[in-house]
Amino acid sequence: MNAGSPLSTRPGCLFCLVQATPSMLRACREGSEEPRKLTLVCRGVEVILRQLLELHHRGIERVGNLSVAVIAYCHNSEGKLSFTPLLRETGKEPFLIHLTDLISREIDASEPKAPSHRLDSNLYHQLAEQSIDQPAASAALAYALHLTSRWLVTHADAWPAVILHFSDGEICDDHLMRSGRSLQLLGSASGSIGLAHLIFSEKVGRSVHGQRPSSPESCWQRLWELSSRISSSTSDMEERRALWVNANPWPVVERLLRETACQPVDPRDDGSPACVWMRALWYVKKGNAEQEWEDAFAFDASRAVAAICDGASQGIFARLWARQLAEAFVADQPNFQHSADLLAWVRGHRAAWLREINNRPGGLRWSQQEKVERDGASATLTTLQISINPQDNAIYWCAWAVGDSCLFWVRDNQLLASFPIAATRHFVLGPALLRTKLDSSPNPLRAKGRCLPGDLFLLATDAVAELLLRQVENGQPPDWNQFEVIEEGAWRQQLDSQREQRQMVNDDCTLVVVRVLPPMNSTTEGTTQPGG
Amino acid sequence: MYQQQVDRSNPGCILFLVDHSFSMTDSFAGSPRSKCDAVATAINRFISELITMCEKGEEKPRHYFDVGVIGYTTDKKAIPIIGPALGGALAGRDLVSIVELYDNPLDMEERERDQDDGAGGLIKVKFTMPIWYRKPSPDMMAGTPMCGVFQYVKPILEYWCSSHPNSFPPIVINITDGESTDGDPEPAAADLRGVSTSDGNVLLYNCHLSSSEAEGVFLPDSESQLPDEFSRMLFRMSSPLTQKQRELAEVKNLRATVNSRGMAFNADGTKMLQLISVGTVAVAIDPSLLR
Repeated sequence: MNAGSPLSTRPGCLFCLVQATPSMLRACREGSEEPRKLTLVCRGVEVILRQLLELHHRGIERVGNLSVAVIAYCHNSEGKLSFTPLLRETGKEPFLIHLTDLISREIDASEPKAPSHRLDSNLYHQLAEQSIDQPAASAALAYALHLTSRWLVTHADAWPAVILHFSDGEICDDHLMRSGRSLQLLGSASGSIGLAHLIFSEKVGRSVHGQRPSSPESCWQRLWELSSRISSSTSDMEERRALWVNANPWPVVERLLRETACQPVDPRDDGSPACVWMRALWYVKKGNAEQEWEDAFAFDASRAVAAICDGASQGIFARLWARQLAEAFVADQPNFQHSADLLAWVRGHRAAWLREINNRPGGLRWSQQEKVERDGASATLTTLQISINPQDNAIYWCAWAVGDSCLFWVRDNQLLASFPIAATRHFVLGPALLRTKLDSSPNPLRAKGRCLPGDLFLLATDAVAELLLRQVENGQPPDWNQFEVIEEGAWRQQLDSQREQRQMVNDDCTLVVVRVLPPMNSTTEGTTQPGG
Repeated sequence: MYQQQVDRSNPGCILFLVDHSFSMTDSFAGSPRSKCDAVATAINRFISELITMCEKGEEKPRHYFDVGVIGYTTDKKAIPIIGPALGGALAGRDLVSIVELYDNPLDMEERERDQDDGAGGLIKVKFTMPIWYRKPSPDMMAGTPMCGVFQYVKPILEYWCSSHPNSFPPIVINITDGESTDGDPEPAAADLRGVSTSDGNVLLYNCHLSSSEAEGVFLPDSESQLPDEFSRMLFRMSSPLTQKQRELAEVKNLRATVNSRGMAFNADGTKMLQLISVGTVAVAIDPSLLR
């Protein structure tokens, strides 16, 4: 077999996030001669790389087009969050190296070396020594979500991503739970993400292989709940999850690779719409007139569907494009399950946009014509559909996202998860956009979950989303329930105040609020968007 | 500093200082085009793109920028001739808004460009090229009063900054092909860079055009990279790049470090366009403007 040729065209990615703090320099048993935790992490990663290469040699399709990253995370001596790739010759973000590249480098070398040669354990050691002991696990999982999302946007029909989080298992605060849940929501065309927690700790003498940890390791119970379900290797009926303590990590990785590929994410079950209540709030960027608001929203409570769009300010006729997309999603409820589906849907609406702006000879001024031809319009799109599954009568939600407009999932007035961004530092310039110009589209991100009556969802364009997430990060989360009842004028005053204090960027703001109701009790209230 | 977004309440300001000395009628090495022709095309194209960028699909483009073009030379007796160089209805104005530029082109020239015909070939496509600035006639071109032009624009920018106290500070792009003929311009340049808004000081970038084939230096980060005292002086007169500008330079595969300054020495037409591009993106809302 030619190791240089991919076995499978379907791409996959595996991220190893490894904690690099002073605690990882300690041995797994205090005062003992046992190797340090950090050494055990390196050994674990080396085993994983070796086994992946072995599977690749054997022609296993799941790893045929797999790329791998190993990333150390810590707060450096200046207190700044730092993410450092540990595989040698790693390129820029997302720091992935294709397995065939690892192999070809081995073959090119005059003396074949073990793949462990690729892991810079000295760098890892150095990072751990120089870091400060400050929790960074939540940021690491949010970062994993960021990297995986960006990778999925450019890799159509990918295998589900696999995330391995190596740590000392000391942190399981609410922030970590939120980041972890957000990460787990993310799916690909062929299944949900696989998330494993691989702990090296002095707290227990024995190993844990996926069983629910019992007291006194209650922190690990929370991590266990965050980890992906896996099958049991024994005949007992006990539920197993991808939480391993002081154990060789390969068996859990092998199971995640195999089992995550068997749970297709169906974006919308063939169920009936759930009962929901919906409203929308919007506010124009300060200094602009209301008719210059370039966001858009649309919803239909009777069909439990909502969409928001953020028209990119550098475009032309962006407001029209955003409105067309939001309204079209709610009207069509398209399914973007296959990579070509979104492109086909967007193409149809491009033609409508061109007609509407009067794009014909003499129809536009010279500078408009030039901008239409050069840039056109572009917009983000984030959607929510909620339905009742006829099989189990449970309520499921599913969402699509292109770009940085966000979905927040709230239960009991607490944020459970957000999609597709879990930390404010990942609101970056240049989000993915649906464009009128290019005849291609980024792949949409998808998320799905099971919700309960009483759950609250919020769809927010980036300025509001960033503000809400920052308030959560600062330990001063908003009163989420207020968005159901607040007068629009009062909400706008809040935003004015945040803008004045430079707590948020001056941008158009949109918030769609969705409350899941018990079945058979649907009502609607909404504000009308201008011109809509 | 240098963070303010450009919008109608906080517009940006871009001011070109164009050397009208006689040597600007010479051509670039290996090119039949004169330097002043290349500068005129670059400035007209830039204004046209800036207007396009300010288009939102409304009745007129939005007033996101004020723009000026100031020419500087001397008469044959070395008396400075410094003043606004836009033509037509905008003649005599130091700074004009995007909307005024849109409303008042000097001319609309029909030009042709190659376009993909969709079948592997190229077809000539006509397009309209608005003109706002024309090169001066050669008999009006003599010396290079650089001190004078810096002194001329300082009060203009002071006034602009006082009227736009929270805007991104003005960006000045000085395009010249020779040494100052009215003394050491460094102190006047420093004075000009001292003008500020609450978001930072005026950014002064210098582009030196060359008729020789000597190797150019672009966005240098130390004086030691430069070959002579004149080029080192240009370096000292040039503002450092902002972070956003460095990021753009990186996107365009142009080397820029934290100490890099906005200058080009011995530049050809391409390097001049690159400096304008990197220099003005600091305020551009859309970095794709200057692709």
